[in-house]
Amino acid sequence: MRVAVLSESSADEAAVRILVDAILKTPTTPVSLEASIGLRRGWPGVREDLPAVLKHLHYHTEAEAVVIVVDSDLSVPHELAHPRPAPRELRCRFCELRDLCASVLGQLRPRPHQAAIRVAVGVAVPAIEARLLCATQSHISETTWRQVLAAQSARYTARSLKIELYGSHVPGLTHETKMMIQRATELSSNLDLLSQRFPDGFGPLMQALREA
Amino acid sequence: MIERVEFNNFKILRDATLPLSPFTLIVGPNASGKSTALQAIQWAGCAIAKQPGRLVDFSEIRPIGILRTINMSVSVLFCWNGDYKARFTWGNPAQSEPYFEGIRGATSSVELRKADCLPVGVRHFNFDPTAIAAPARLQPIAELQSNGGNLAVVLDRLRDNSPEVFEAINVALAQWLPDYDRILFDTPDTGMRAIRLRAKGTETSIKASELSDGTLIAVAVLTLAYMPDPPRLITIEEPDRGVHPRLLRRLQDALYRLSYPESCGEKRRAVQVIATTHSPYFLDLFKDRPEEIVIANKNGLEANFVRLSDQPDIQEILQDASLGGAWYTGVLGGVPAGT
Repeated sequence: MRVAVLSESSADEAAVRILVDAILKTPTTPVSLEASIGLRRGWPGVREDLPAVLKHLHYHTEAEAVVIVVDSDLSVPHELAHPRPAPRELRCRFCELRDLCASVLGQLRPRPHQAAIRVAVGVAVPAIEARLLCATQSHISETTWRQVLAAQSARYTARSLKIELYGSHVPGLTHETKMMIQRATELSSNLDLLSQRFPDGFGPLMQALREA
Repeated sequence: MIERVEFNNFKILRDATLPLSPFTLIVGPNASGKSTALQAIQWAGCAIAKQPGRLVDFSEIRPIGILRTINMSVSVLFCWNGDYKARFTWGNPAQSEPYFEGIRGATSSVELRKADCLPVGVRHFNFDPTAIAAPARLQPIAELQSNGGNLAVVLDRLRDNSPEVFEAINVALAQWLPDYDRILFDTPDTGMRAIRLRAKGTETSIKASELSDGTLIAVAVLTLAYMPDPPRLITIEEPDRGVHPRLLRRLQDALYRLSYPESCGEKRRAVQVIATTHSPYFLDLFKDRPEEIVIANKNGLEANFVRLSDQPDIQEILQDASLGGAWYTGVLGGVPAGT
């Protein structure tokens, strides 16, 4: 399957690609975005670039699916009960990305001889490092993060997760990518753990990919 | 670490405080005191270290718009973490060397001049691609010049004296600029050196004078980031100049290598870095670290600084916006008036 991955950094995308392959149980054929789209990175960049990325994939490539994964940071974690489409004020990044994809793709001319691009969205709570650390840190989960947000206390933060994973809150891109690949590879044989700990952010991603 | 620098009557910085972090990035309109702050820090640092610095003409540093007949002093006060301060005062038109005063608690003494925490080894960099590309005369010991003018000689010395560092620079260069994989040297004349870069996977190399400005600045920044014995404080003007927006993360990594050596497994002392920029793309990379961003604001003939994380309601203002985009709109300040 030809799959494009859009995330907040090239390091994130390397990790997401490994997990996607594990979910599909087969290596996907990467559709590179770096080579053709000016990606601005970070959550604002993903959101702002997404319409152009979708149009590029639709009209210029043979991509069959696009996987979009961002960090929740301090936004509202997704819940399956969120309305669809979700109001912007909800500040749920999962809903915003899902609705934006539906809106953009719904306006495009059908591709000749090719099905519409399938979309799989995931939101890492609060950051992708949480997923990569959950195998070794039993307290890291969506449930814990909701408690952290509700209590306004910091049992862990996006920054502390970075320090835990990389040994620094400012890892270089090379080191960050290496660690992400290493941890994602380890996790790829334990996807059940990810869907148990992150049912609302990772679960829909897994489901969408398996239905693609 | 220096926590802040207070300026009094130093050019446009009549009453301004520059808050600092291990790494600090200053953004703001032209003529808002960014370069002036770096200049003041450099001059004070040169005075401490007795480095050969340019003599300061008092008339150059007093505020614009103040009559020459009015008696006044100009000062720069460094405040370290802990209870330690150092003040430099220029108070006499005939005086080029500032008066130094070390302060610890209530004690004020010139004896503190030799205290270990003074910023000995302040270096200012404003890389000039033309200077970087020009051949330089070989020296037994070479310290990178402010404009990068002797970069070829510094790299030549590293190749001979610290080959592991030279190799690390080559590896980083190939990651940053994948079109190239090695720094080579030319000898355009006896005792002279210039660099050229080898095109990846080929025997073709491109001489420095034909490399792009951004490429030359990237090599200079990388060299600075990997210096075996860097100074304690580095100020650097617009290190992103000429660098493609997609490569700015590599630039950030190189500068962080200085400020957070532990982040790349180095055990050397951290270098405090103060940089300036006008690039919203570069700024975007610091959204998670607002404490490292300082906004320079110009109000008529005065300027001041505000740390981004100290701005009220900053989290709500930024929320889902990109930091560079928010800065560009003007909601954070630090944009030219009337634009």
